[in-house]
Amino acid sequence: MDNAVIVWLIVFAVAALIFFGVAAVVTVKGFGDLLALLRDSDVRGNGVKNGRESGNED
Amino acid sequence: MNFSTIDWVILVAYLAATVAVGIRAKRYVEDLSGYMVAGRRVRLSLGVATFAATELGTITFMYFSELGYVSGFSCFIIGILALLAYMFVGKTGFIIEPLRRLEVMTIPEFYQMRYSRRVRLLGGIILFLGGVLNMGIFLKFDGIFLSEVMGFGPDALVLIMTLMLLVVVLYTILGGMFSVVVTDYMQFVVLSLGILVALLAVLLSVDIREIGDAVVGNYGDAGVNPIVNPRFGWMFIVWILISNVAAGALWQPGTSKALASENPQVARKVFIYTSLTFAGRAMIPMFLGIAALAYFGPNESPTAAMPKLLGALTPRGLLGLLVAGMLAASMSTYSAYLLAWSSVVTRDVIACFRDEDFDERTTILITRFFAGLIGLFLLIFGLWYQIPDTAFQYLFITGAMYTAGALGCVAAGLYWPRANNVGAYSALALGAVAPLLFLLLEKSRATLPGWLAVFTDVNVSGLLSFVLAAAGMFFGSILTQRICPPRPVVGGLQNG
Repeated sequence: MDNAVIVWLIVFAVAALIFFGVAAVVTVKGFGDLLALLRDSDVRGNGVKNGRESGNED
Repeated sequence: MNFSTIDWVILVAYLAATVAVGIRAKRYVEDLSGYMVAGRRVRLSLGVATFAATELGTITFMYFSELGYVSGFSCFIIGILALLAYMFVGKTGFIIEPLRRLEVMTIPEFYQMRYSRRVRLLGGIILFLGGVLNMGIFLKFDGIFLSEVMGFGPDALVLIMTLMLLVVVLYTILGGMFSVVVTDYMQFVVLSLGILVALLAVLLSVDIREIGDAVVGNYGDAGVNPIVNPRFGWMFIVWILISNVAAGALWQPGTSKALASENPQVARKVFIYTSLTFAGRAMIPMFLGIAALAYFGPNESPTAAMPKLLGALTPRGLLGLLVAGMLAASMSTYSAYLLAWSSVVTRDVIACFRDEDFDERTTILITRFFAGLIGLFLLIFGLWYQIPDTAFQYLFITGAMYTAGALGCVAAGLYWPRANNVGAYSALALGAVAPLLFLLLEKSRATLPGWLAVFTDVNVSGLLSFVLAAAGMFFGSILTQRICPPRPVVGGLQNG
C-alpha cells in the first residue's frame, strides 16, 4: 500500500478514536449536567434577568 | 425495502421519545433568556454534546462523503483545518469570550452595541437570508440519504421528512433553547451510536487495502495530496482555515451554544473539547465515501454512493439504529438553526424597524411564529430545489456571504478601537460581493471575459470575500475617522 495512504489511514484512525472517546465521556458527564440544568431551573424558577439591551442609537 | 419490523420499532420509539422530552422541556421556559440561551446555565459536557450535535447533521455526512468519493484521502485536510480553527477559537477565546461576557443573544446585537442600530439591521438581514438559504438544501440531502438507506420511493420520503420537520418545529417553538439542549443531548448519544454502527458495518465488509488501492488507482497523487488536487490547493486551504475560524466564532447556531454557557471560561472550554471531535466529524463520512468508491467503483452517483453502501452493508435490526442516528443528527441541526434564524429575524430585523424593542412576551411569540414559518419554507424549498454540483463548496460560499463581513465587523469591533460605522457597512457589503458574483456567474463561466471569470473559481471567490471585507473595514474606518468617530461598546463589556 502507498505510504501516503498509510499515513492518512493512521490519521483517520486517531481522529475516529478521539471522536468516539469524546462522545463516550460527554455521554456520561453530559447526563449529569443535564440533570443539574433541569434541577437548577426547577429550583430557581428560571429567574435569570434578561438584559434589555442598551446600545448606540442612530 | 431494506427496513425490517425491528428497525421500525427503534425508529418510532426514538421519534416518540424525542417529542415527549422536547415538549416537556417547555415548562422550564419562563423568560426570554430561558427561551433563547437556556438561562445561560449550560455546563461543559452538556455544552459539548449540544454543540457537536448541532454541527453534525445528515447534510454533513452527505457532503463530506461526496467529497471523499470524488477526491479520496486528500479531502481529509478539511477535518484537520476544522480541528485547528475551532481549537484556536477555544484556546484564545477569540470573539466568543467577549461576546459571552457582553451577554448578547445574537451576533448582530453586538453591531448595535459597537456601531449602530442600522448596522445591526443590515447585519441581521444578511445573516438571516444567508442562513436560511444555506439551510434550504438540507432537507433534500436528508431525502437522498433516507431514500438510499431505507429503500423507499419518493412519496414515502416526503411523508417522513414532513413528519420529522413537524416534530422539530413543534418542540423548538414550544421549548426554545431548553428543548434544543435537552433533545440535542439525546440526539448526540443516538447519532454517535448510529455512526459507530455505520463505520463498523463498512470496516467489516470492505477490505482496507482495496480502499487504498481504489484511491490511488482512480486519482493517483491527487487522491492523497491536497496540494496537487485541482479541487483544493493552497488557496483552498487558506480560505477554509479562515472560514472555519469565522464560522466557529460567528455562525449563530453554533455560537449560540457558547452564549448559552454558564460563563465565558466554560464557553472557551466547550470550543476546545468540541474541536477534538471535528477531525472525526469530517473524516468518518469522508472515509465512508471512499469505501463506497472501493465497493461500487467510480461510476456511482457521488451523492448517493455512501447511503447506498450503508443500505447494502448494514444488517437488518441495526439499520433502524443507523437511521435513528441520522435522523437525530438532522433534528439537532434543524432545531438549533430554526431557533437561531427565528431569533435573528425577530430581534435583529423586525425589532430594529421600531424605535423601542418588543417586550419579552411579544419577542418569544414572534420568534415562535418565525420558527414555524422557516420550517414551512424549508419543506417547500427542500422538495423542489435542485442540488448544486459541489455541495460542500456551495455551503461554504453561501456561508461566506455573511461570515466574511461579520468577521471584519466583530473582530475589528472588539479588538481595534478605530473601527467605525463606515468600516462596518463596507465590511458587510464587500464581504458579500465575491460570493454573490460566484453564485450569479458560475453557470455562464465559458462566456465571461478573463477578469470576470476569476470569480467563478469558488476558492478565489471564497478567499476574496474575507480579503475584501477586511479591506472594507480597514480603509472605510481609517478614511472616515473625522466625520464618523468610533463609538465605544455600550452594553457592559468588562475587560474585553
